[in-house]
Amino acid sequence: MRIIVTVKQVPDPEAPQSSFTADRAAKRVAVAASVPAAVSDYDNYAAEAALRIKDADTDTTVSVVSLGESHVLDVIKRPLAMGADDLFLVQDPDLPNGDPVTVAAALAAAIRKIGEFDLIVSGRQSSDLDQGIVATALAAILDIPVLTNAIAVEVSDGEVQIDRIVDDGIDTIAARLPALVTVSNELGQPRYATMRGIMAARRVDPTVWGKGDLEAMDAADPFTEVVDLFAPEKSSNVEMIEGETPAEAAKALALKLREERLI
Amino acid sequence: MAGENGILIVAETGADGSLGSITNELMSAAQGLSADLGEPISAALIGSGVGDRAQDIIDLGADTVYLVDGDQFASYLNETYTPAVIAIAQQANPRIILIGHTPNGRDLGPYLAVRLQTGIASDTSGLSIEGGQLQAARSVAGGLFRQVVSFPKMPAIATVHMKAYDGAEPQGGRSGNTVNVDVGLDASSVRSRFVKHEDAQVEGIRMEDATIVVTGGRGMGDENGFNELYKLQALLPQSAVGATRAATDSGFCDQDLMIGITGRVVSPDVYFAIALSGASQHMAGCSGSKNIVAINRDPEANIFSESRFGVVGDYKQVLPALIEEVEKLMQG
Repeated sequence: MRIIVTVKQVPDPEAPQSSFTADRAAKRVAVAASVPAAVSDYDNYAAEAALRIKDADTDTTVSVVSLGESHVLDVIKRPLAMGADDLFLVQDPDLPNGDPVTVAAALAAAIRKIGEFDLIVSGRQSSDLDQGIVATALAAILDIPVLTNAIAVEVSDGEVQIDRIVDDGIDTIAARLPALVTVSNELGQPRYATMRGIMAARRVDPTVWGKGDLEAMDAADPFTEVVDLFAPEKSSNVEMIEGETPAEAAKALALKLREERLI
Repeated sequence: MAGENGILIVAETGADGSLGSITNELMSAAQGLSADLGEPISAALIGSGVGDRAQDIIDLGADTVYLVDGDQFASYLNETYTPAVIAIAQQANPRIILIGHTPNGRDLGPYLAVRLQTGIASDTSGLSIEGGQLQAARSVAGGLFRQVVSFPKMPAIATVHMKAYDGAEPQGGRSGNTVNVDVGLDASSVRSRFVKHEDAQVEGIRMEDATIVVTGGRGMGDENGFNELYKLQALLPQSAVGATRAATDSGFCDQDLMIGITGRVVSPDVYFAIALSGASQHMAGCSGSKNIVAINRDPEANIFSESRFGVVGDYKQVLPALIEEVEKLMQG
């Protein structure tokens, strides 16, 4: 079977907070040049879910598709170093921070151009914008069923089945292929890239498409517009409880909480 | 469609058929918008045998409840609930649709937006009316920034952050209409199926219902360290233990305890934040707490700026003394 994993390149969210500032005029987050690129957190779990299916069925091909600008090859090839087979890059400087449904339409166009597939696996949301919209919208545009927030994924008999955390427990749901699954971190740690995987990934030449290669990329009317982006003002009114020793401070804290009727 | 009018909220019911607290919160958000617009509030109620809940939603402030009731809707499935909301939206023709940013609401919203050929903003926590249309504020970059989104098309769809709004209180005896809606869903077009539901194993009370939450982070070190939190929790009435994603990913405790942007959202009276830095991704799940009490050995940790009370120190020294003192106070 063929699995497509969608991957987003983001500024490393672990970078110091001071490297991120609000560019209010451009209505987007400005990132210091020193911040390295990274694969969006949950997309690593998406790759892991796809590769587990490939582990069980070696006849599986895992293709990676990423939409964005200035891809850093060493970063975006990480899923290949983990074991994915090929890479499709769609480059458009305007789309990545745009309206999520428009982004999904561009991804849908890219996936149609890639060709036949059985399953798409995506991260549940990106680590920069945290919208969690693009993957589900992609499924809607491709008119395939979507199963979200998977913590376990299995494929058998032309069907994909997942477990997902809901408010009061865990639901198990299934869909006929082709389908799209989004993955959450409860799936379990993504595998490390092996040296052999890194060498193999180096030899992969990505297929690169630009704006002119995909029909749907000129979406004229966005469905949403960002009208402002700013850093919220924070005011702190913390009362630090001190003591001669940590134990004394703890005692003072307990008394304070009682005095305030909090315990 | 033209003539869009009013706000439609998508109600949620739990496995036991009762209304989820998100329904009260959505109603509260809708009431503010309704007052600004001078337009009515309607609600989508979807499920199997949930008709009795319609009056509950009217009591919360809905003018009209659109009811989809049938076996096909006994459990949430994207492929059955999306057409149900579409059928309701076609009748209600709302200007705005509000959905909870819950596991099922997050799943529903984007699919619905594509089908209705309109825009969606997710995990919003500040809704307002500008020039007669919705504007929605949301956090980005793990809470470092706020983004304000507008909607050129109608209906505007927003999923609303859990606990962002205090829940509306029911007013007994309100009157409103209940309209039965036929979805006309062709079962053969449904490509997905519900397999089973397993209730979470909850010892004590649910974290969301606790008035005190004791949460540990990466700094708890290991499972044994994390288990110390239960000693404090056991002394406090109506309390529960929570964890950061760093703690659950490190295997200190069950994944189910995770509080944060992708985990559970709590707003207790007292939130003990122990050996956790206060990363914005975590704060998204607890910033509604009335009083945050932080214990951290790093005096520069962000959690202190979010807290009401703080103690700088290693939890291994602070926590045992705190447990001892709390025990005395509780007995006293």
